[in-house]
Amino acid sequence: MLFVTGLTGAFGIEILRILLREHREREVVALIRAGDKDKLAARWARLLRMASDGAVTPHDVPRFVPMIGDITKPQLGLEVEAFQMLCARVEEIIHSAATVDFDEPLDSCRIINVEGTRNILNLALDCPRLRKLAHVSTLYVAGRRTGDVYERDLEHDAGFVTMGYEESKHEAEILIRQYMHRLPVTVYRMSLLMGCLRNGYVHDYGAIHRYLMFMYRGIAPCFPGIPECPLDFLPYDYSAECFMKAFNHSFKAGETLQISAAEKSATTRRWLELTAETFARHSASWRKNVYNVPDIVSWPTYQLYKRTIFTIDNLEFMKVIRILDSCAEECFCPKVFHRDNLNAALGVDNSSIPDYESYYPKILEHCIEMNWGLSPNYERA
Amino acid sequence: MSNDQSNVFGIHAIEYMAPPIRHSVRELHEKGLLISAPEALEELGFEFCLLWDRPATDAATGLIDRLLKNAGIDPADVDLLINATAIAESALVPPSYSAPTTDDNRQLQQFMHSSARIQDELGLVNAKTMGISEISCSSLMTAIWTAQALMIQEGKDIAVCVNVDKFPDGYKREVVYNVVSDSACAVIVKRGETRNRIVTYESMTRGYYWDSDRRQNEMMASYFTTGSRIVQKTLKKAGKTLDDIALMIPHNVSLRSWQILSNLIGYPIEKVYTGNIAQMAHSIAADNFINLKDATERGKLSEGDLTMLYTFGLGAHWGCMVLEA
Repeated sequence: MLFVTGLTGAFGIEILRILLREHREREVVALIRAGDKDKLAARWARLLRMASDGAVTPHDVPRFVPMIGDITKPQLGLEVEAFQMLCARVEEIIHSAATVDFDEPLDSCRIINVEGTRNILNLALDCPRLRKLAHVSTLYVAGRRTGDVYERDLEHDAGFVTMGYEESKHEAEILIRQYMHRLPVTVYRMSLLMGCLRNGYVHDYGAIHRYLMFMYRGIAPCFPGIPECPLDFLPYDYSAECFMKAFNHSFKAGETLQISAAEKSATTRRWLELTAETFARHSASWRKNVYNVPDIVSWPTYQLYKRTIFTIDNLEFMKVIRILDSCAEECFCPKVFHRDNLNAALGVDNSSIPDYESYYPKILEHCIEMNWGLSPNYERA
Repeated sequence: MSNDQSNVFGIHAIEYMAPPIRHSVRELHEKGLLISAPEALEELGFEFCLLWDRPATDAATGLIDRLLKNAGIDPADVDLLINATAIAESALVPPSYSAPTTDDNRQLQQFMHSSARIQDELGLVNAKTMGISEISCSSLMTAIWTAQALMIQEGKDIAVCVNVDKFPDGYKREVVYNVVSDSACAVIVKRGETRNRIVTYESMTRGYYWDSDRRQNEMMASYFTTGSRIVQKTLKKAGKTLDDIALMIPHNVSLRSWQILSNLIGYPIEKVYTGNIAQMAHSIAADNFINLKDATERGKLSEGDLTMLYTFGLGAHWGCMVLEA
């Protein structure tokens, strides 16, 4: 039995897509938060529909079972019987549930990302048949580090960029390492996930998407950072394919794998230029140069902007600042996330990493078409 | 026309007048003439605002009279007078100056232009007159460039460009987070003048921002990104770099916005002449030339120094001029 958390998230839904495509014969239990059974059923049906482009209903996959639960609660909030059933039968665990909100403070991030992980580890310890446990993490546990970041690296004293997300995920990895001698656990660090390679679909609009929305509307005057700083981002579906292939076919307990864009990352400058070029195909204001590519500014200049916006009390610009505050410091911390373990597990080299020049515009086009998630036609994961 | 047929033009003389009514930012707030909190505008670098006590046409007449006398120019030698205004009302002689003879002739009041009245009042008998408007706070700089172009075309020697604007009574004294004073500055542009020689001028209009109320945030975002581009474009046209610019002569928008722009373009704020912002606020289209005169008189410029004059007008128009002192 495969036990999965976080299937309702932007990354999880792509895992489910692969499970539905390639592993329908498997017994899968998905832990999902829901108020009651009816809500769970509705949520599950919607999730299957989204992950299969409308092709699969719950009746088509009787071996896939949703279960109401919550990773932050002891024994995952399950009834004793259900928990014991899991312990007895689970052979593989994919733990991808997490809060990825860059604004969330450390305390509440810890509840989900650290204590939730601890509860999963406790479940794993009680699973005698357990062969594999995958912990989904983030490249950005590296925080404010600069330079080369290898898969073996974890502890550092460089600090973190986001309020609670990065630090809590870092703490979760430290916790995982403490269990590595007792459990068959592997860590998979994800890049910044932007949208889908296949069609640009964005399952969940995060801080960067919201910044791009303000940029599209011509009210993002600046982006703090270093122009040549690499910005490591990847598509959800590509990352999920890498993850599932490595998990299913080359699992090595105790390893850490970075699913990164590595040297094929866009620079901050090129990312903004490509964004503007794409916007120009869809917006007269961009085409006519009424709007400009935001200036890439130094930290002191950004602070001046910020002070000014707070002085003039302009609510719209404050929204932009809030987004930038949550993540943009990353662009002052140039680093390359190496992926030797991942490449070895997949039998590929960095040439297999998708080219952002071709897929990223599709993501932006989806954002524009869906009005950054505000369109009635948009369905969020 | 003089014998000097060179196409070198420079700023021969500058005169300005400070409007006599002076209110602190706090007083403006008490009179209901601000939008933002006074503390915010003080933090942005503003302290006082200057207001005219008379119509723009009168202030312009007095100012040009003084300019010509101080420069020793005979009014009859002026070839061109350009009245550059940002506010439509400032270009007109007030209706109260000449009651219509009959109600049927009321529409003629729309043609009572200040430039013609100035020509008549001051005896600029040989001057062609015209007005430049619709480019807001860029109007005086554009007028100077236009004057040079016309003088080259027509072989003329002396032009007077003037900006006098008066906000209609009761209007707020704040525009996009800037305190705005009334203005009065006049400039003589003269052929063969090597002082403040006009090296180049570059401008850019982004008409999308004609609706500066509804598009205010977009315009604010664009202000800096376009500003840094026009500075580079102007330097390129002049074959110079920012290292060649001895002094930046700003329009008196907020000190904070100048700190940001100077950071963006990589030019030290210490070399931006910001000394008049607090006391005079943003004098519509006159700032650059008021500041140029003051900077010169305070010994900030030596012969041969290059200055860059940068301005922005709602609408939206960016202007940038390089002069050689």
